[in-house]
Amino acid sequence: MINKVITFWNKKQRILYAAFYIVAIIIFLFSRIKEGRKVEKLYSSGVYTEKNVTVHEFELIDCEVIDDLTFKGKGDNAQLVYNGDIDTLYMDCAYSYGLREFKAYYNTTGDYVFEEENSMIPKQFEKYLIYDFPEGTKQVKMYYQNSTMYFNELIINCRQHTNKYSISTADIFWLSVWPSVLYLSVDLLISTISIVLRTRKK
Amino acid sequence: MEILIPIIFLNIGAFSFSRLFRIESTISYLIVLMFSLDFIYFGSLVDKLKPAMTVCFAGLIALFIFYLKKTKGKYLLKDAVKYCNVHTVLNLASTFIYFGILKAKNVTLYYWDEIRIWGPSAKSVKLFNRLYSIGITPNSHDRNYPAGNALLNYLFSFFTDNFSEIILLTSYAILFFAVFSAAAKLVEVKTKNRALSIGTYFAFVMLPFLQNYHTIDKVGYSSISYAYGTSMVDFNVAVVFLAIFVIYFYNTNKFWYVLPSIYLVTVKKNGIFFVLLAFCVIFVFEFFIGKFNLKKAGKLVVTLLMALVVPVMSYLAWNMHLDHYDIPITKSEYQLKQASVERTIRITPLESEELLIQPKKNPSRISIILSGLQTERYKEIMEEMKWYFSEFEELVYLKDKYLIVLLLAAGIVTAFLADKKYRIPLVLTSIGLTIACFVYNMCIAYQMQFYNDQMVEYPRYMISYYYGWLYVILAIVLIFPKDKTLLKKIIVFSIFAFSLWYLNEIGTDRTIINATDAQYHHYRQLEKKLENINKTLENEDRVLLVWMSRYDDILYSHIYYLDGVYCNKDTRGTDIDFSVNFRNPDVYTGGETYFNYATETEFIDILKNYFDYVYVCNEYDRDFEVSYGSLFEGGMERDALYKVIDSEIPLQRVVY
Repeated sequence: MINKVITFWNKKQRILYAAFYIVAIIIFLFSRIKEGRKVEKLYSSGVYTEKNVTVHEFELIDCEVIDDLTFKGKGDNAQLVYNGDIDTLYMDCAYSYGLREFKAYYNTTGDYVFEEENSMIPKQFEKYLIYDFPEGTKQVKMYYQNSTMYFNELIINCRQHTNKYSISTADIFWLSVWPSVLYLSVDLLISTISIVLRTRKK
Repeated sequence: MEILIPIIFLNIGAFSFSRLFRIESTISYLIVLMFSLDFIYFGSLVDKLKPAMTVCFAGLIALFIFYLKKTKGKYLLKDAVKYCNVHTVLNLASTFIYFGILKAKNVTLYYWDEIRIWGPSAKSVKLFNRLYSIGITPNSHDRNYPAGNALLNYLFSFFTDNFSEIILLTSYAILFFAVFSAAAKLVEVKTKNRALSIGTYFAFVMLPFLQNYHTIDKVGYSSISYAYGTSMVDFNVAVVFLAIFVIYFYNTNKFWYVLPSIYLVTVKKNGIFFVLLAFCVIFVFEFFIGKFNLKKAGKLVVTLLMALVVPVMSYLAWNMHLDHYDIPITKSEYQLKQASVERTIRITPLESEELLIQPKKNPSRISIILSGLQTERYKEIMEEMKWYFSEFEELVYLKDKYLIVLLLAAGIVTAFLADKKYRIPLVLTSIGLTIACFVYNMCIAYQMQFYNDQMVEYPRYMISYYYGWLYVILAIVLIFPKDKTLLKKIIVFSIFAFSLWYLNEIGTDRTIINATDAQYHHYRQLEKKLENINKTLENEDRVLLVWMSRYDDILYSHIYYLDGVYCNKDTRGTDIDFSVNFRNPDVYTGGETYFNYATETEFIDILKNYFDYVYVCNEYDRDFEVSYGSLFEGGMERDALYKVIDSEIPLQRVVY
């Protein structure tokens, strides 16, 4: 049986290699559609609702509110925390140079426990900085140490430029390499087995 | 998708070539690409770039017609299927995925050398259909730089109207993927193992990703500025160096390897060094393989001649071309005084005073080679590179001596696992390449010591060239050992899998694959701001940019984004330095140490003789405004264009 598998693998390399990609693409598309439908359901059931917000809808820690869209961070621990089911956050504001200052931490527990690996830096799209949080995010925190933030607009759960059905460039990249890794690892396994069997025969 | 058209032409040519000469498709593609680049190189040297490109594309079609005539089209479908093997598909798929990603991320050039050198060189060649070394062009950098990258971009942007950074970056990747897929095909031909060849392709493609930043806080895609997403050419040198070996080892009886050697000379000034090194390796193989007879002796002589004549001629042709199209210097009409320049020495990040050595003006040439006599500066460079690694976690640090040990060990082991007839040439090749690596690093260090600029360029140079050595040794390891297929598979799989794991850990956010673009936001904003001015100006208009007195990246960005115009250029060859600003001698607040003295009358005269327009940038030298502000209609305004006219107020505001 093993020998049959090895022979089949060695004879049909081209087709099998193509098959790895076809299967990967199908699995990817299915999972993307499933994820998209899940998020759609959350929007239609009212768990996520798109709305323009002000800084008052955030919990401000060591911050002074100046107006609806402006606040000043006082000290090193100045934070903005959003509590609630959140899918995306769109921010329209000026910034000096890097997006590092906009790193956001998130969790799915809402218990103010944040870890470095659950953090993200927003993407820029036109005038917005966009955070696309993972499913189930219930709390988001951002630091604004000693800075005054002037927002032009803040929108929660907007889907104008981010779509759970959409395919990102990262998706395309991983889709173009992962099937090859799997194919090569299977080939490596089969080659090893082949050599072991040959050695045993001798 | 205008980039598709040259790719189609190249593939048609490569297909015909591969069927007529019975050459594997990806090898054929690489040969056709190299031939096309060489052809337009020689055409451009005599200022016939566009005709040469047209003839080249026509030639590829003619080759196809010849193939059809010869075969009467009987085997067209069968040959087409044979041509579209897995490596051709991987090559094309990689190209289109890469292009798609660049388009989606709207990647832009951002690094100093890209805005100052490599972007402008490619742009001016595209806009003017001639080399930047002919006549006066908008290109801001040294006309002595060879034009390889500009020609590569020209080939793939031939059917577009305007210059595109995305096509420029994609053209580099097309070159890389062509070489990597040819190398993979070579591995398949030599080992008869397709899975191994597929692993080889991905290992080569993914290896540069190991140069990512490995901190969490970095953003942007500068982390792989060595290979993907940069217009700098150091990695190109490494890849074309590999191409020579790939084509040679595919068929040692043919001289196709000469084609990439010609192109390598045009990539950068150090290309000639790598070409001669490659020819040394080829000569060693030619000398030691097979029985010695008259035919072989003849081939040896031809190889030697090729080594001396072909790359040297290509190199000399460039210099002769520069002499022929030299811009004559005429006598200066203005005896302008310049302020004295104070040069500030930047302190290196090293704290230890023991290591902070001023560069020697005339170091002994022997000291470059012998470690005992190395200048202290070279040791400082190594320490500085280590400092960058630990403080900024900038790149994977590998001292050159460890790289050399790795290369030598891999080469020697390969030699003993290979057929007897290859042992001596492989041992000599390993030793030769490692000595060359050592000598080359020394020379770069020697050159760098005069910059005293915190060595910001050194890691980029070295890492790019490290890849050249690594790729060649890796190719040798995969081709030569007899059997050992499983071991080879483990090597390529490990490289591929590890680089993917590493990329996953770092995150694709810090590569062009999925970067945020905000870090380079201000470049796009500037580009957009200057769009309206580009609609007003025409090719070869002369513009004086009024900025702060120093040349910096913002001013170079203005020069770069203004299409086809000469900015701050001495268009009359009278040697006025427009890199510094002007100032009426009576007005000086001491804020700057660089400027030309010119009275108001002299300045008006200079404007009328040298420029058609003046553009005031959003920040400018206040002393300049005090000196000449009255010459501007309605006063000097930021981000404003003024036309030079013959009037009492010579600068008329242009509305756009």
